[in-house]
Amino acid sequence: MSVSYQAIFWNRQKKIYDVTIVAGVVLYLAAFAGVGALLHPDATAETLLIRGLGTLALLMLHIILAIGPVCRLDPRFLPLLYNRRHLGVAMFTITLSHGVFSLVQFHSGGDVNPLVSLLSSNQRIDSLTHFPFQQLGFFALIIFFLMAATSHDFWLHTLSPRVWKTLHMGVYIAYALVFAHVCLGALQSELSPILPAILALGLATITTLHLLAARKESAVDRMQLNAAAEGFLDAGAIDSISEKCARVVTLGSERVAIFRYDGKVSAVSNVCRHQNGPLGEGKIVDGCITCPWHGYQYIPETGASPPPFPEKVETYRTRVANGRVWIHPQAHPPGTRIEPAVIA
Amino acid sequence: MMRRTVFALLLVTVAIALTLTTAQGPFDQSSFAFQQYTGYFGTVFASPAPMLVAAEGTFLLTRPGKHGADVDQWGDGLVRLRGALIQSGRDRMLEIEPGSIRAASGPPRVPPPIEHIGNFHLTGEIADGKCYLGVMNTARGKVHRDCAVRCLSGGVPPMFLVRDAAGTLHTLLLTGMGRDVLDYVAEPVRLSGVLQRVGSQIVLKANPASLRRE
Repeated sequence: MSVSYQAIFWNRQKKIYDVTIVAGVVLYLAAFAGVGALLHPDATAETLLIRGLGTLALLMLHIILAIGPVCRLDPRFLPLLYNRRHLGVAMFTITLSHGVFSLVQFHSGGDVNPLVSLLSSNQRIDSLTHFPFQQLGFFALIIFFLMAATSHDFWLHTLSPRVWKTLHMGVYIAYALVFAHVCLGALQSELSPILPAILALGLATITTLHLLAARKESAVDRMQLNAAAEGFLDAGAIDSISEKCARVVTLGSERVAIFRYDGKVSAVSNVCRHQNGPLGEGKIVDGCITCPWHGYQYIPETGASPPPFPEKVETYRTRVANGRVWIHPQAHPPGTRIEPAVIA
Repeated sequence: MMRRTVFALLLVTVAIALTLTTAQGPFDQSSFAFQQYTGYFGTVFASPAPMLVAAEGTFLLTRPGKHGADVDQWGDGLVRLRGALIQSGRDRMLEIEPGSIRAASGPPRVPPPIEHIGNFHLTGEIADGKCYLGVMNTARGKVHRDCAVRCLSGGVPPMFLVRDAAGTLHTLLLTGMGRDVLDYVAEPVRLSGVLQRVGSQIVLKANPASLRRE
């Protein structure tokens, strides 16, 4: 959360996160290439390195894709999410290394430019068995590059959160490309059933986690609010909302977070302006609604970030009567001050 | 809880690495003495493929990178050269150190004897000789296809890999084919031709019109 852009500083949490990533990368490559060299003395070092980097990148991609839904299902995993972009950039670096080593190994030193060779050596697009799988990996790498290059908040604000989020949802297209890259490449040559089994397990895990997270959220979306006088809707018992926390309800197609704090109730859009994080899963910290993803803050009454920060979200009118919270479905423009309802 | 989660993730990471690296293979037995050049003395021949016939035996010849050797200027003459040995079983190739080949004096050796084995219809896989004999491992199958295309396009001698009824893989030097082979590399294909033994090298002098996908 910033009004200007500064060099990134590594706090203790970021350092621990990054050291853990480096440790994982070193452990994986040492285990894969080191033990691989002992078990397969005829394998060339380049082959072991390319395979080690490729499988490591695939594992990191699965972890990245799992973090989001795991955190929606259990907020205790949120620390994994805070610096997920570090993991993303690290995964891109490993993927790039896999790509560059492969390009040098398979396409350089020949009679045409290596990139021309990559795009033209195999033209069997008429056959699934012989399909040019390396090109699928190349296109996935381009998507990962765009994501890594725009990971800084400068690009989030320059592109707008909607465009930025859409661009970064490209990770699912990249995952599909990588999956096809492996199925139409390595799986065509390897005889062991272990690689396809692990790949299928990874796909099943990612799909299941996303479906479980979606089911949890759709339960909120399906909840019907009872109407009352003056267009207010019944949003449930006030006692169902913990102090300094929120309950999320869906009004039409918009999710709204209703916060209870200091004997009052305020409602704002559930969508953080930073990366569309779920504000309703955050808490009131130092008097401000604090996004669980990256700590962006908003004043409950106005939906505006404390000065000098410019972010604002929509606000909603609320009432509290007979132990229940009522909310008016009409959204007020971002940053509009709405008096909080007082809990009697 | 987070500390336990991270520790478990690191353990799973190592377990996956060990599982995947164990599951690799099998790898062909081959070797490449990368940039370990030693001296050779013998006669070079351009046909059926660039080769050196020396006291140590017959060696196919290539240049560094994905390029075949051009020995036309040396005729069927005696030369000294330095090369890095590429070897798979009894099949051998030399990657010639750039600028190391020199004309030598002495009586030229006679071309290697050619023994006709017979006409055959064979099913196998086209690979590039340099990678297959040891520069890369693995160097056959789909993953290596693009590299093989690049090597063959650069003039590296093609090999035809054929399994006999017992499952043993045989390496045949493939001649008589043009650039048409590039579209058929690393796929199961059928070829007809004359099988010959040239020195210690088995050669399939193929009929290009017989090339078919299996």
